[in-house]
Amino acid sequence: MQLSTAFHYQIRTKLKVGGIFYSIIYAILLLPVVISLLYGSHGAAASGIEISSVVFLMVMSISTYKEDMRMFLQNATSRKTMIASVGLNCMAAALGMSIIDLFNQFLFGHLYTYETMFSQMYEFITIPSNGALFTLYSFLWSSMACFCFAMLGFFIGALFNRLSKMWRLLVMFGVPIAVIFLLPFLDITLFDGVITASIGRAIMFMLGFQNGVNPLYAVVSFLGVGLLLYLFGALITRRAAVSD
Amino acid sequence: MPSIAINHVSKQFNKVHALEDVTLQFEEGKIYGLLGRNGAGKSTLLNLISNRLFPTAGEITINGRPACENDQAQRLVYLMSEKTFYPETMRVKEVFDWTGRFYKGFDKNEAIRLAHEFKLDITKKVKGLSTGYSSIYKLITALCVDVPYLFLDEPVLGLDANHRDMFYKLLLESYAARPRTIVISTHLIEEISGIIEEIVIIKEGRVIKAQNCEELLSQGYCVSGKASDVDAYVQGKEVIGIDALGGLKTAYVMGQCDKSALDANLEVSKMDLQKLFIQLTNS
Repeated sequence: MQLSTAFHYQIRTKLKVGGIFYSIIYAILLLPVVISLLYGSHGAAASGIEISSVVFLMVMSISTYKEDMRMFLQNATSRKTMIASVGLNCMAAALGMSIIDLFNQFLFGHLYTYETMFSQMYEFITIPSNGALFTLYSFLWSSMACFCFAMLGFFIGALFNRLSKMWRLLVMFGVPIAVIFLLPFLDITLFDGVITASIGRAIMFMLGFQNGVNPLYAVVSFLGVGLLLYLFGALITRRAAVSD
Repeated sequence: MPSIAINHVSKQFNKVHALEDVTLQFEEGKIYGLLGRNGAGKSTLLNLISNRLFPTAGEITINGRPACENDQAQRLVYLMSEKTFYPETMRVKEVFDWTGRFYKGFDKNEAIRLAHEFKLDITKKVKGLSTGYSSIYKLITALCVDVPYLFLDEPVLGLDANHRDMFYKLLLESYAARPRTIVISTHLIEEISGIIEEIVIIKEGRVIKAQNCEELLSQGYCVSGKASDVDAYVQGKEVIGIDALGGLKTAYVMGQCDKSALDANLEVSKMDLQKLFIQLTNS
């Protein structure tokens, strides 16, 4: 079945590149250990390394979009099948990478101070940080964050495939300038910062920081936003032609 | 009868009408020549059949199934195109491997044998191949895929004469072993004229001829000789083209040869496909 072959093809690509990615990650994680062995312990610490998994999946989704579409169209695989494969693939990769991150946390947490981004963000959560529930929350949070950003990559890849060169440049530079400079400036000037404050409150709510500390809000938010981005990416892809 | 049916298909790119109301059928087991000038719409038609593009209007079916976004229908078709759709970092042997996974009937052993015959290094990456060898690995892949409809868009691009000769022989061997529909789109008309059975000529997005090659060629003839004798003979006949060199002339005439009016000094020969094509597609 084409979906099965398409899935295997995309997973193979991720595994190949993932191998290079993890050799760099483990080189970074092992460095404090090597230094400790050579020069004695100097209070080595690592934190937030798992954010690299999020970035990796996003970048992979963007960079493989066009190549995968060409490969599939060459080999009797429709865009519908490609869309299904991307969704399954990114979820599988997100779950897999989160398991590896969890393993790294367990392993390197015994060797030096190792803090994940989840534990730093949710340090005031009212469940024991060494308990099974905390680990489960951490895994869910991490995997859904990975999935969400992988879908962001898919959406960006799909969008850029459809846009002309001029529009691509406009989006690449225009969106960050608008979000980082233009929107806050206009908001403060015209609306006394109401929009920015509202966006801030919405983000805090989605991450589970309104009304106490609850990371499950973030899990649901990441999954919801991820599915929305997947849907938009799918809508763009279903009638896409391969651009040069 | 199993076939690919193209019904009133049009394709527009912004303001450019690449194809206009094309109705055509590719029947099973025949070798077609798809001819047309640059920009006529040949590649667009092949891309529409193979689901790389969507038609603006009309419908394409493959053995009765819609061609658009249909994995089952597309598994019956393989398009070898000028553009490389395989990842550039992929090695040739990986191309064979993955094609075999997507197309279950792919003969990998035969592909490796052909690669050896063409002296193609299958450990090389796609991006590291010359223009000629880039065509060769795609050709080999196409010849080894087991599909009832095979489309070859400029298959001999960049190939030297020896390799082109090898390819045509392999194509006929493949066809003899497993008859299937093969559509060859090329500008090298003289080279394929001995291979193709059916001909489709596209001009400015429209199909102007779609018939049996022999039938088309038998609709006309060439008459050559002294210019004055040729001019006298072709009076009142449908002449679609003239070649003149010094005092000699060749006229391309449509219709049956009028032997009674034929001067002994005039020579009659079969219509040449390339000449006919040029005459039909000259604006």
